[in-house]
Amino acid sequence: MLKVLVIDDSPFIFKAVKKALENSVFDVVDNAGNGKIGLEMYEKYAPDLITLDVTMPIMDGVETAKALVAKNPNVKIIMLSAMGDEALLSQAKEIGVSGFLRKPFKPEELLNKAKEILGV
Amino acid sequence: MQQEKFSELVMLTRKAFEEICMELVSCEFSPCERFILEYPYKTAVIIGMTGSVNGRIHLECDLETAAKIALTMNFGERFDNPNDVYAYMAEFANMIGGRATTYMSEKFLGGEIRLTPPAIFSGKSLGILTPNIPSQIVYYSGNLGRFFIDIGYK
Amino acid sequence: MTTEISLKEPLIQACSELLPKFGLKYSFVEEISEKTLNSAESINLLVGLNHGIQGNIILGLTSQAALRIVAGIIGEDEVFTLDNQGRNALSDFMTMIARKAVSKLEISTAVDISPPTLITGDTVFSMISKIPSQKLSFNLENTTFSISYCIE
Ligand SMILES: [Mg+2]
Repeated sequence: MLKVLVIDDSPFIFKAVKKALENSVFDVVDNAGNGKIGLEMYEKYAPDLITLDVTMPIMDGVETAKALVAKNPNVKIIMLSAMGDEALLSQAKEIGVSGFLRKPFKPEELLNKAKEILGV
Repeated sequence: MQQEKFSELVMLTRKAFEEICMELVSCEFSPCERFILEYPYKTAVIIGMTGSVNGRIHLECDLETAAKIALTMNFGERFDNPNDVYAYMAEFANMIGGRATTYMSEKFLGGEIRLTPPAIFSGKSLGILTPNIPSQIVYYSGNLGRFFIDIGYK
Repeated sequence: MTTEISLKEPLIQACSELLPKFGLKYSFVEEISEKTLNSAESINLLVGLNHGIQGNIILGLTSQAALRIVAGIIGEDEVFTLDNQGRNALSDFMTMIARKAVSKLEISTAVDISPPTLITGDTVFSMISKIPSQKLSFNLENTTFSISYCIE
């Protein structure tokens, strides 16, 4: 199984990611409510993929993505955001985020994106 | 703000609301006649907007409608924590605000629009107003209940 | 954005600079940690913050405190009902407190403040963040008011 960590302050998104990836090669291991906890959980689980929210308390998604890429330049991140403007998209790309989906996402959209990024 | 731009912003916010409701809870909310929510307990979410657009979006419904929306978002599964209804409503409103501002920045290039975190209020005889802000209320009805959005921009 | 910033001292200072100007005698009582869902006062003013920091601030007032503050702002001895002029006064007051408080933060980016929204009702509950908020309580003459805040 490929491990997925959800870094998002919304319990709804955690649930939606779990639903989208259940019965597949993915195992959603945990939910971090902010980037700071997310970085700790990244060490703990060494996930294959991370879904990352942008607007979160304590440490937001942009900072978290930078910190994750600094730890591991090959880290696989799908950024999930309610905002989808060009500025954010290009910033995410520049940092090294592998994919971007607007909230709300369709379950198959997330599943396909996850498979595409991990080449499964 | 010029009337034309105001109408455009209201239109984009309505579009965002209608789309998110369809995508998220498969519910078609259609504009309807003005109504007064007669339920004693109401739930309201307020999201502020700053940057090139200064204003706020206020969504309001009765607690029962909020609970139905949250339950539908949760794939029909009951909540372990009843407060999750509010957290789900916050995310629901956040997605509407996010979509609306995405449309606004596409439409009016050259200005960043920022959202403040959603604030939720629930209570008896709830009254909400933003002084000195021109606003427009749109009433909606759908099979999950009734809603109104109050959109105000300076 | 990563935040380890507190609004406690800036808010207390903002009150100390503003309230005496309007002839209001008050004292700070304490700061308490709240839950995420909290009971609110009957009259509340909300402002959202973003850009430099993100969050929400609520000024929670008893009816008596609201009328007392309005009287102070508009320069009357006493006010008996919260009318349009009173609501506008409270809204301006809220903006002043928020502006003053964020101006005291040592951050490089200017903070945006959303227009204040007035929320009234009975047995009101509020959730201003998905993380627990902080509440500053104050005495105001024979009544009380509070400021709850959460920075994300
Ligand atoms: Mg979020």
